[in-house]
Amino acid sequence: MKGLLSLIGDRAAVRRYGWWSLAAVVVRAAVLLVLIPLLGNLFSATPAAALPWLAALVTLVAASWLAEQRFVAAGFTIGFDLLTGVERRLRRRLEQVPVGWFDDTRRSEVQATLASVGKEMCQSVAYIVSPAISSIGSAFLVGVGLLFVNPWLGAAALACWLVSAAAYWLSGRLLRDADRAFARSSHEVGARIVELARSQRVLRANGRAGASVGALGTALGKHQRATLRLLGWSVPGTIVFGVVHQLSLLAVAVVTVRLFLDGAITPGEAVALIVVLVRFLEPFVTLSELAPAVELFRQALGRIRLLLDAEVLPEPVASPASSAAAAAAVELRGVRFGYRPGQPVLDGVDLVVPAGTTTAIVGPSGSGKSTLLDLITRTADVDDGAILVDGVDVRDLRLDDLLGRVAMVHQDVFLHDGTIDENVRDGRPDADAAAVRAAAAAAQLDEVAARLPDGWDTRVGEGGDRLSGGERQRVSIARAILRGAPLLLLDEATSALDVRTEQALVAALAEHTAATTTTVVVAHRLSTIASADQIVFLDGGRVVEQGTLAELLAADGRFAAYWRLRERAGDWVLA
Amino acid sequence: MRLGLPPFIADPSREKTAVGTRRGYTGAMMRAFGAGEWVLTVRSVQDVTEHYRRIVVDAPGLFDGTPYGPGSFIRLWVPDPDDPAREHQRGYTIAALDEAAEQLTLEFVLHEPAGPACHWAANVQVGDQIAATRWGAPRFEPPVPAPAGYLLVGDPASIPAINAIVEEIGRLPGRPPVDVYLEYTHDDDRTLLTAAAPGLRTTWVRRTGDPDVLVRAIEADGTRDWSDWFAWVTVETAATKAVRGRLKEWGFPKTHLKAQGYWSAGKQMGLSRDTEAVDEMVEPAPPVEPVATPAVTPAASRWQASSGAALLAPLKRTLVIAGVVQGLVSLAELVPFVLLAILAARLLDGERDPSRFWTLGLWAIGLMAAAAVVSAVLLFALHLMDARFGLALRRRLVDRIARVPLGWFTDRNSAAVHKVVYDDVAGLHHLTTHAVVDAVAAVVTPVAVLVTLFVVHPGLAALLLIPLIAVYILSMRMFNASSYGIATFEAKLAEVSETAGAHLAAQATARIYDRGDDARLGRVLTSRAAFLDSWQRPLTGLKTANDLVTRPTTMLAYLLVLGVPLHVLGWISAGDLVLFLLVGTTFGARLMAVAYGFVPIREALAAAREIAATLAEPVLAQPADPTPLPVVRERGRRVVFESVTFGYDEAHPVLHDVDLTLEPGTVTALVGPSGAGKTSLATLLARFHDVTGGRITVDGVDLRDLATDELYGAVAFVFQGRSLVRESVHDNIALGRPDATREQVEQAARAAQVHERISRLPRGYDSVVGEDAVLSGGEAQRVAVARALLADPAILVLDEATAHADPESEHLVQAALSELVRDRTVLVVSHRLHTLTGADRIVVLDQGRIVDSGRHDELLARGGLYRELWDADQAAIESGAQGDATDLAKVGAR
Ligand SMILES: Cc1cc2nc3c(=O)[nH]c(=O)nc-3n(C[C@H](O)[C@H](O)[C@H](O)COP(=O)(O)OP(=O)(O)OC[C@H]3O[C@@H](n4cnc5c(N)ncnc54)[C@H](O)[C@@H]3O)c2cc1C
Repeated sequence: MKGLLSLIGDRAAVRRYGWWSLAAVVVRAAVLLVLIPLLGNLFSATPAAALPWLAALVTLVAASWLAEQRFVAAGFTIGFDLLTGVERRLRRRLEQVPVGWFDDTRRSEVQATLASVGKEMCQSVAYIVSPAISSIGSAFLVGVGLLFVNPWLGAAALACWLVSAAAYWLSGRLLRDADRAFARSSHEVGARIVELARSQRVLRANGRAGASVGALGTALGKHQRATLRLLGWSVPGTIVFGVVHQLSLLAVAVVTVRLFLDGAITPGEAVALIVVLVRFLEPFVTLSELAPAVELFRQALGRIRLLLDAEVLPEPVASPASSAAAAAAVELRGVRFGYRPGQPVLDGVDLVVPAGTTTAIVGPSGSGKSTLLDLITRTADVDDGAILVDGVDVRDLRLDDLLGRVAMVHQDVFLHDGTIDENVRDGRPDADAAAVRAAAAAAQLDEVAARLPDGWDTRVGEGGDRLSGGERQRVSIARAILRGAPLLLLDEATSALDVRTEQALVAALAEHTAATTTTVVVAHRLSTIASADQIVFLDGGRVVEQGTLAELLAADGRFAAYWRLRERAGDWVLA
Repeated sequence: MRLGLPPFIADPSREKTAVGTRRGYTGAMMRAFGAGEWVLTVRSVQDVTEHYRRIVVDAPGLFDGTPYGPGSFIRLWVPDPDDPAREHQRGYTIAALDEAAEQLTLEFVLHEPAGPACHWAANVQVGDQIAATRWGAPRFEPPVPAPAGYLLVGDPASIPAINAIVEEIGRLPGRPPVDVYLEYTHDDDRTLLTAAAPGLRTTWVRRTGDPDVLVRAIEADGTRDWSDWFAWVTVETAATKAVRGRLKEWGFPKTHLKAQGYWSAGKQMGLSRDTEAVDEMVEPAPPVEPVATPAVTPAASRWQASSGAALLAPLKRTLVIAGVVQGLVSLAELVPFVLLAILAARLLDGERDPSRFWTLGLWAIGLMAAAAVVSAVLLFALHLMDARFGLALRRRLVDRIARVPLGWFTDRNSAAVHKVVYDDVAGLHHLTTHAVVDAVAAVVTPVAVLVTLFVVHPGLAALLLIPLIAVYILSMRMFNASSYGIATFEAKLAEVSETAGAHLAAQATARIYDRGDDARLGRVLTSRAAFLDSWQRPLTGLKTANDLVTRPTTMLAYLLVLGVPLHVLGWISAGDLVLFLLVGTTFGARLMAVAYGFVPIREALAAAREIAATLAEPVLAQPADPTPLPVVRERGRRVVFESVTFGYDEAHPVLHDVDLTLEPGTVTALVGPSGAGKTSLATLLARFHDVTGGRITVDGVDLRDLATDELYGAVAFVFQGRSLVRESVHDNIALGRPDATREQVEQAARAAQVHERISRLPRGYDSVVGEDAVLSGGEAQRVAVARALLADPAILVLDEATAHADPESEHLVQAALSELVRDRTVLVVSHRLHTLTGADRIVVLDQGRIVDSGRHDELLARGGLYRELWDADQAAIESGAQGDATDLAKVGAR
């Protein structure tokens, strides 16, 4: 409940909702209570005395319709507010958390949250919270009302209310662990199905695609056990709740009959009480039917909180104006960084990338090249030192402003399941068709589109799986070109291209990016490295050599040795 | 007089008719059921043929996001030519619509004799207005899974619908066949079918007035097997009946047969008749007598639609028992209330003997408790059954899709696979656990209550029917209003799920390109939220009304309003009234439950069909009696491709007549331009697909005669791309040989140059990929090589195996591969020609054919395609290395 409240933006709506809920609950209880004098009189010697009470009943029912209608409408308003508010906040949060926060589990939890949050939020208040309030509240007020009819009866009713509420809570409580285990196991099944679909070739070629041999089979077995366990745990809950319900009915009935036998109430009143008391505990039955929905909703809230409570990269309220005078587009000052304490990946890197130039970063694997690029885009914050873009510390820039200046091509290209054209367009959604085509042509995509059956409208498949590695890279380079950002970061962007295409692409890229574009490229292709203005050789998280190609070869140090090794790799033949 | 007015000034005498007047019962009913009304203004009129008129109208406000589709129609209120105060309702198809301009196109047959609609269309002027209602328009929605073909039967009046449908089918994948049978009256009617689809076959039949001409025309083609076809029949009413009757005989089930008479020969399409026609769409009328023509029985029917029911058949007995038990429980639940009413009657009679109360009370409580226990046990048992059934079904599904041709997976994304294996099976849950029980309860309880109450006091009981009707109307309204949005909502949901998945899978990229409200994820979320709001908000009022009307307290008040005066007047006894108050109040809510229960049942049946369809997917046949591979001494085996032809679908062969022998222990390289079929050829060896022609043998045994285990034991693959699964590194290496020891795994990893890297992982070989083992492309590739080494196969297929290697570790991958290929029969695909020069044989593939083969030097000497590819490769390398060479020369000189 608290969790829910904290998600709602519109306070006035909450207050309105509160008042109407109070009104609805009171009137709903009153409707039941007024039956007592009504029926009491009706079944007395003077039935006509019931008529004014009948008028009262009709009035109250009409009032209750009004109040309920308002109550539900207020609930929906909150629901819709939640829907848009929560979605927006989740998405914002997604842009702000460091990428390292995500692991496979969190990723799939967040995906599930985004997919389902809309409807759950929008209906939750109206279909779960409101009925719950209305049931529990009105039953309680009926108990209070009965106190005035007869203290004994009132006390018995309130006791029953308390016990029923406790039973409801207990039966939910009993289920909770089993419920969680069930949710986890269905999650695992889901993840394994996705894996089965996406890694089908590998699994099949290794004889692991069937239900009895693969991870999915195991997950299904666990899911089954979790289902049975949940089912098992629901039994005591149901029994407790059922028993309490019957006993409560019995208790109030006994009290009524006793009172009647003692002459404390008339026969008419006794009958009236029977009619009322049968209805009195009904809301709890409604509530118990809601229980699964309540539990799902609680889990949904938990998942939402998971992301909303994640630690974010701190951002200033506004970015300072970048110093136009800054000679360097990117500057690293004594940068230290590690994913795990004690294992630095970058260990004191100083680097200046002058605006409008190209810097190639070279080094053995694990030397921290990709990490360096990632830190420029602030996927994580440095442990020590600073990274400046256009003279401003990236931590002093709003993420939107920083990332708005960047176009990047990652080594593992991931596309979304749309057409080639749509994927390129993601670089700049408002670009016109001519610009999209031009960027695509520069990335040597023309040839790909010409070959595919639907041309530019060919769907690339999930993650771009229907394209080859090289084709995917070309799409993502086109996307980067279209973006036209001043800072271009390429992380092994052409590794899957054949040499010919790569050559054409590098040439087109030079032509298509403005002279003011600053490029940092992690590459291994000798041709790419050779065309850079500056080469930085990284090893063990430090810059060990730096200079132009000629300078570095002349120095005959680490880079020169690496260069020769690479040339040999070019000579490798399979057999 | 009309001529005297400029067309854009509305004729005042017509003004009246545009605003609704007398429309009778149907009109009132339709308004009650939530049909809105719009005013359309004529924009343009065009005569397509002498007897066919196209009218474009402005329809502001008609487009509220409600999905339209081919066959959607609106109901026009056309003025009566003779009595301007009277309007008739006629259905007309939305031939086209322009949502942005809020315009729609209607097409009218100008028939003889003309009716009001036809008359209106014939005399219409630009600027004229007409009222229209839209209500529950049934659209052309082919069943899921996609039918085998489409049979469309129509006439000029249904041309707008059929044009749109044909076009829609033309957009579907797989080029399904479309057979269209059309009746025509005038010769130029035959120009009206303008839509085209790849599989379209049209037959025109002259209208004679005999309702059977169409049936005969369809029968004339005795070659079709109509199994799993979908039929859409919209012709004159008698002809529709005739065609529908025959199609039913041929096995078309309800789900695959949409038949509606569009007009009636010699009769007006009257108001109430028109509603009937709509009902027909939902539920076809009972079959008409078979037409007296020689019955032609088309080839066997193997309808998938009925396979959904077959899937559930094993549960039938249990469900019947459950239904019976629930019936008894429902009755038992009622008895305590009757006992309470008796108790109350006794109280009022002045009965004061406590022991009698106690017996009655205890009976009541006892029965209640018993009913509660039995129904809990019943639910428990059903859930248990469902859990078992679900598990078995999921296992069957997984085993099935593990054997379908791989194209099944390329045709759908992982979300679609998830839907079949997880969601659809879960969708059956409601059907197997709740639906039957709920339905029985919802029928038995109200009926028993009504019977009891009618026995007790027929007058008051009869009055109870009034709120029932209100409940019915309200729930129909709800149903109509909410079913509009379901399809759209599902689509939006899938879109969000896909977009969020892609966003999260590549967060580093997404945080740059997919940022802010206007980027992809933001857009998709906003559009879903906007849709949900526009769809659900208007429903809230209805839902509340439903809830309030069916509340027990509401019914109580209603009963008292009637009952108090009756009792005061002495027309009903106190005991009887109490009985009404106790049992007559809850069944509104129960009826509501039936209405709500419909949707999940429909969904569950659709899910069952989908599951059945997946279970019926053709699989790569397993040999009943597998042939073992001969035992051989040397490491390699001989693979022979014999005139292999292959295509993913019939229309697009990828490989033609490929003859190729891989000699034991040799390396064969496949080269060729992109799209030449290299990868297809290589993966055929994995039997991810079966050849369409010819055969592939391993040591003389056809791949299709090998047991799966034996095949995958003999052949191993290293592909580009995704090669690791979320298991420990150890298990990844031992994926094909789960029984391998840690030592063997380590040895393979060493040979694949990846042991050292693995040792540096947090938990070494026990680190789980994707969790605490984050490996680069090259590292993953080497793990895959280690896996192949451990599997120690006789035959090895490498498909661009170095493509993903990060350059740093490229030489490590290369070293690992060199180790791997030794002494095996190897088939390698690579675009890096210079790495293949040492192959024993290089095969050049172009457009699915082998154009050349030989050793590197031979091929080079021969010229041709290989030379071209090689030169391009070399030229590229050289131009890249040119500058370096000089620089190096300088260094050397120093
Ligand atoms: C869902 C639906 C969609 C439809 N879409 C279209 C559409 O897009 N375009 C279209 O032109 N019609 C369409 N129709 C058919 C149209 O509604 C009927 O033809 C309608 O009866 C015409 O009304 P009317 O007032 O002109 O004639 P009525 O008053 O109904 O009948 C008067 C006379 O005309 C004859 N008659 C009626 N229709 C025809 C006909 N089509 N051919 C020959 N004689 C006829 C009758 O037999 C009768 O003798 C559709 C019908 C339905 C149910």
